[in-house]
Amino acid sequence: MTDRAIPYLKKDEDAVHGPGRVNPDAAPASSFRKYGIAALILALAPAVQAEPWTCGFTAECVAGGACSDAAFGIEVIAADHEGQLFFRTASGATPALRLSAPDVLPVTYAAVGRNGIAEMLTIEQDATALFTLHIFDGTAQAATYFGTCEDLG
Amino acid sequence: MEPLATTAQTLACTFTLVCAPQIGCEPHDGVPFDVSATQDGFAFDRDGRAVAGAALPPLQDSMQAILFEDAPDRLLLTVGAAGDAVLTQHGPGLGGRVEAISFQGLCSMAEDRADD
Repeated sequence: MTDRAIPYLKKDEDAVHGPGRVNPDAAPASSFRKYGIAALILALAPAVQAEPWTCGFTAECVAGGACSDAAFGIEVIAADHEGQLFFRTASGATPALRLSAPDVLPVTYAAVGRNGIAEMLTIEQDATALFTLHIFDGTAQAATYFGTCEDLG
Repeated sequence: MEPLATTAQTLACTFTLVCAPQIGCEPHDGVPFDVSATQDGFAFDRDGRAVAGAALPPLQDSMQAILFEDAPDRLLLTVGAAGDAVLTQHGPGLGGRVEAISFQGLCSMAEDRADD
């Protein structure tokens, strides 16, 4: 293992992270009486989001090129009895991995798509999403799509 | 490029183009990024810590894709047959929103440089 510095990849300890998600199931019934309004707020927290997702992307930025409008869709589905996740697009489905624990946002998925294209999808807490492709078509390139995802679960 | 096969090898990458939608692309003298094969998969060094990664299912012949998780950051490294490489990080930027930053460059096999 090298100890060479990775300047652009240093973690920014001062980064402001999004608020932690609230899990209403974590509060036992007695705490509702104890904490009153706070417990009510917990109970009204939105349901946990998870697969399946349907995502639409409206902007595309190719590294080294300009950003442009896009109209691209992808779904994240659990398509077999073992819960294997897939990316499904108009051109077919490919197995995908989820990098974080279930029901936690942001969530990141990755897959190797058709034609050997590596793909990484991250969905934010507010359902905005980034989808990056690594393309090897003569030269290595990255393209990132910007859009939103909807939890269909 | 042959896949990493032994713990004695390092995939030594140098990225010379840094791109993000917010800044466009900027050339760089060389951002180093070295990946070691480990018993459980792969790892790279970040701030003195070993960040573990796992290979995605095989790409086309002689291509590799390795996924690293260093919450809240996720990194995808893809290396082509000729050693051309792309690394993308999804992670919180200023304000906490997830941003994408991509690096383009070259990777080559090297002996482990832990003793450098």
